[in-house]
Amino acid sequence: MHFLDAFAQQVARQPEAPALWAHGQWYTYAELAARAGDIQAQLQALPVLPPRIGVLTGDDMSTYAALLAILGLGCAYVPVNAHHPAERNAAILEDAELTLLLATRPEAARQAIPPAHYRAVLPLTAGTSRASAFVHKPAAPEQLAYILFTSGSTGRPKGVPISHGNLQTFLAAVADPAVYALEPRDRFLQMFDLTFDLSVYSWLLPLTLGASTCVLPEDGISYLHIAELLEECQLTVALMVPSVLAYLQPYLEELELPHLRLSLFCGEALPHATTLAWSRCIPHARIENVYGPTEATIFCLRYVWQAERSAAESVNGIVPIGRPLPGTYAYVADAAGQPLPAGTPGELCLLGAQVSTGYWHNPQKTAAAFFATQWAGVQQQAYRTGDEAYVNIQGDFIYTGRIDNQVKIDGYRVELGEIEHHARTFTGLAQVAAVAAPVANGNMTLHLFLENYTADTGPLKAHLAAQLPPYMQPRQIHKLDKLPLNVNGKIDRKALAQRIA
Amino acid sequence: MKPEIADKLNTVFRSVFRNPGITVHEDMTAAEVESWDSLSHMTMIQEVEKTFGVKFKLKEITRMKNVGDMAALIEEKLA
Repeated sequence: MHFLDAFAQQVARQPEAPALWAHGQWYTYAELAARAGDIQAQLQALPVLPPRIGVLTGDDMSTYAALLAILGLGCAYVPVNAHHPAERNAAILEDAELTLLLATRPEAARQAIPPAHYRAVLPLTAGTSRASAFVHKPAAPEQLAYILFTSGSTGRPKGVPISHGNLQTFLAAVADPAVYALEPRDRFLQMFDLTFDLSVYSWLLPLTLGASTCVLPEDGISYLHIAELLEECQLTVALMVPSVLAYLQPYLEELELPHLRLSLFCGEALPHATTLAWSRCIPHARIENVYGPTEATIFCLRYVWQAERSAAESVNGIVPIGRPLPGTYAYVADAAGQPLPAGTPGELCLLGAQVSTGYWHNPQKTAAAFFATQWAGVQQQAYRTGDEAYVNIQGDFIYTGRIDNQVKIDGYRVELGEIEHHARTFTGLAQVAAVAAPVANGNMTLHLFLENYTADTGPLKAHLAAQLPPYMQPRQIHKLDKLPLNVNGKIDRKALAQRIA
Repeated sequence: MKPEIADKLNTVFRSVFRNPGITVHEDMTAAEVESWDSLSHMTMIQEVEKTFGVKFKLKEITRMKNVGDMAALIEEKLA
């Protein structure tokens, strides 16, 4: 059943069941659907309904109702974060050709995006229910559900369009009772910014199952608030980035989480040691490491963690990423794209119905990363992930690193080239290097190195703050007489990383 | 906030948030300090614990709404 039909069916079947928790309040399926119906009525009153609609990210019920409203009308949503720089947001609006932005806080939208870049902001005001029914039009598989923008090495974010077909394949795979045995009584943690595709698992999946989602308030400065939410809302399912564990590590003994039964990690390499410490807080729960890039819809490989077995199967202390979900195929390829035998490392390639058609309005980048191929007797869409991996003797994929300069900061994808591009443009320098290095708790931080730069770094910092989202800001800028080079004459990033340590 | 607590907090905040101009006050929150994010927040907590020789519980940290709350908690723990 299509995910929108599944949501509508839950609204009809159990209108009074809790659907969403936000800002300390529970909302029922009926309330969420009524709010979405109201927003749809507002949208349908417009002279033209745009095919893609921007949504200013937020942690309130109306923002989630807006996502449902947009999907239900057959449009695609494009999330825009008010805390990201206005110029970056403007580039996203321009690329996605957005004319309309939905926002709970219209004043924040007007601050976050220069008005020249859109025609209208539609305020999502609460409590004006005209009791319009939630509309869900039948959607063709190729119709777009959302476009998310990720870091691009050339200084401009890349749009990843995900279709109803992509999303439906993912949701059907994870909703399969044989995979996770999810139930209507499950309560999901939603800790992700809506610009991050793991959010879709956390908010949309539960609403198709008659379960509920609990939204982490945005005003919490630290990930420690996740622990509070897990306890107080008695959450049963939590998809998190491994960075969260590093923050929670000193407090694990204080946690009481008898309700948590499924704990998934995604977005970064998962260390076995921190997982082991975490497992002692939730001895009754199943822990999994899941893997997948935005280009292949949320996640598409999974590995069930188990203390003794995973200790043996982890490589360099990192837990395997496992095997594909139904509908996805994975293999490791050499530089020429030829499949490699088990045990040989190469580039991880993904195929199947979860793989996007390619980058939005970017044929060059699409051609470099996406291709169509015959697999299992049918034509399949395929994606080169840029991740290096190999298959072990058990048949699980082992992630060993990136083949390019992409890093993960708290689970967010960061192209070091994007930071370098903005630093180069501003300083006029040729030799700049952005480097990620771990801090005491194991999480990564960003540093920027400049060769022979005599000016004060204050204006550069301000420039980067105006161009890049907070998670991409270098924590420190280092001025060196000369950047070290490796034997190939390239900037020696390892040497720079060691300098930080 | 007791002046001796404020003095020590100023030292920690100026070093962790890399800003010699910071002067803490009761209502101060992360919104006011540019480099106060989730990562530097944890570093600040650890430095405060070290400086005062105290240990915060998870619930105490998540319930702190501003610097005043933290100062009051430190005072309570030192008493």
